[in-house]
This record gives sequence, structure tokens and C-alpha cells, in this order.
Amino acid sequence: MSVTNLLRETCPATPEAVRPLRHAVERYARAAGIEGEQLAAVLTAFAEAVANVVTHAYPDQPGDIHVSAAVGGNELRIKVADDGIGCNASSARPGLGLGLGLMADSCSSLELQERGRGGTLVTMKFRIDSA
Amino acid sequence: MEHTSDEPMAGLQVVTAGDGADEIESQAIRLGLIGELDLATVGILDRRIDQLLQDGCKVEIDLSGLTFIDSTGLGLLIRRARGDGQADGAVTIRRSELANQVRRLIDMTGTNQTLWP
Repeated sequence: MSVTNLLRETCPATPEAVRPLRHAVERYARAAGIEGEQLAAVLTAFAEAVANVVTHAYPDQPGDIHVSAAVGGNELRIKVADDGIGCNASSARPGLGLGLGLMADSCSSLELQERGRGGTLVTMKFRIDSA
Repeated sequence: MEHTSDEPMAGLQVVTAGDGADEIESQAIRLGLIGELDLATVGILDRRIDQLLQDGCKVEIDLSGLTFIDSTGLGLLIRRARGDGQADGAVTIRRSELANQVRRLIDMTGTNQTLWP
């Protein structure tokens, strides 16, 4: 499987980071030939993953968000990670509860993992259908 | 049409129809959203709606210029359309053509009936 043009970004997990990160992923996905409904699905899922980090990962202190994307074969793989409290911790800011469902419904594969040194890693895979 | 763009560099412009031609009825103001409604910009719209309601206006929100929405933005529209903490019918969502991603999120969440009862 060939991997092309790896995207890798790390920045403070703040609301202001949401849009630049989403635009970076959008440019990357478009360059990989993803458009229309597929692109909408990618951006929807990615936005929810990033929003989860910004809203829940660092309740008491600032922290970073790590994003990477890669295309291999007919699949786009996006990883969103943080160094925060982990996905099993309860949050004081529960939100609407739609985020995880939207992520799951938008990608072909979704994994949430506790990172060994703390934090959460979300891995989303999207099939790239030829037009 | 008078454009009163609020924080235009923030990714969302909230454009107020203010010259009478676009007013939907007496004391009703149409807010056109242009750009992206997400975690970073949802407060812009929330504050603008609060301001208009405090002035005694009704508000109609036009989503036709919206290019992206996340669950935080949709959550605000749902709360406002449902009338949480405000007078019945004070905020409505205009039926319009929607961008692909916006329509998709509303369809996925099954919130059409809430936004357009």
C-alpha cells in the first residue's frame, strides 16, 4: 500500500484551532480526489473528533491536539490524538452526545484508544470511492 | 440590504436584513449565516440572537450561505428552534437550499422536524 503526502499537525487544543485544522484536512482530502458526499462525511467526522478534544480532553489545563492523515490505496486514514484525561473519564461538559455517533456513521472504521502515556487516540478510516 | 457583519474574520458572518425589503414581518429580523458554524463561531450567532430577542424582535435564521456546520452549531439551532428559554416562535429557521455537508448533518441527526416543525 503506497502512502502519499502525509499530513501532520500539532497545535493548542482551542476553539480557534478547529477551523484551520479542518481546512488542512479538506485540502488534503481534495488532493486525494475526495469530493461531494465523501468529503462531507470526512469533514463531519473530523470536526467531531477535534471538538471532542477541545471540549473534553483538557478540563484543567491547556494541551495540544495532534492530527495526522494519510492516503493509502483506496483509503484515507485520519488520526486525532491528545494528551489529556482519556476517553474513559467523565466530562463536566457533556454536550449533545451526537459527536461519536456522527463519527461512526461518517467513516468506514472508527477506533478509540487510550494512549499509553495518557490521552486518547481516535483513528478514522474512509473508503475512497472512485467517481 | 444592510450588512452588519459580526466578527467577519472568525469564519462566520451574521448578516442582518435591515432595510425592510427582507424583513419577514413586523419586528422580525432575518439573520443570514455566511461561512462556518462550529465550536469556534457558535457564540457569535448565539450573542446576536440574544441581542435581537432582548430588543423585542423575532428572528428568522437563513442557512443558505452556510458552508459547514458541526454538532455544536446544530445544537444551538435546535435549542433556538425548540424555544428553550425563550418565547414560542421567537426564533425560526428559514427553509432554503443547503450546502451538501449542512444538509447531510441535519439528515443524519434526524433533526428536520425540530428545525422545521
